Amino acid sequence: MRPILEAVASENYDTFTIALLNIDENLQTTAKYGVRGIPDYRVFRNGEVVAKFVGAMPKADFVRRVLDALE
Amino acid sequence: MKILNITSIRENILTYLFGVLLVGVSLILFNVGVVYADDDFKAAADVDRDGTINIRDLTLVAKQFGETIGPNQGVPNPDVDRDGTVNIRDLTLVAKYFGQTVEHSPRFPINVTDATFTEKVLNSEFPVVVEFGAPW
Repeated sequence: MRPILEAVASENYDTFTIALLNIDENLQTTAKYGVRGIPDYRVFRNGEVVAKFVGAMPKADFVRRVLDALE
Repeated sequence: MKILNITSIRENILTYLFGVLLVGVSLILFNVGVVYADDDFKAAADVDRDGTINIRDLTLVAKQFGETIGPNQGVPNPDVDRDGTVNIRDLTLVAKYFGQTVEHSPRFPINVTDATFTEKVLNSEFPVVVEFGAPW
């Protein structure tokens, strides 16, 4: 997913930011959001989770899910 | 070896003139600055996303004037107001913000940690998609 995420970030940077969090090194945040499987995606707006989805997926699906959540 | 393409230059000049003409008309018809009161479309008006709203953005809108744009259009997206069609409203928006600079979120994924999560994610002015993952 990393190459896809880089492409998504560069194509959508006027809409949202992509952030990567290493679950092994950041147990506090990982536990707080109840992450069980990876990759796990959470869409945050104004500090609130507005969408979550788990697992790798094609780029178009990923972007659509995020944009749907932000509508 | 690059050969000078006269036709291409002439088309580009015509596109510029077309854009300038349409902006002039839009200024008269729509009284720019009154119709669009908020700044929601300012980032989108930077069509090529180089950080400044300039002649390149105007040209990109003019080139696809009248065309239908799908919801999954990448960069550049000349449909500034995202209504599905490149029209006079998009030119008007580019004209309104012409010369201004735009703050964009980063072009690349950023790394966040427990220590920076609040600052970089929860307090971000842009929506943030966080991937909880591992580099392995």
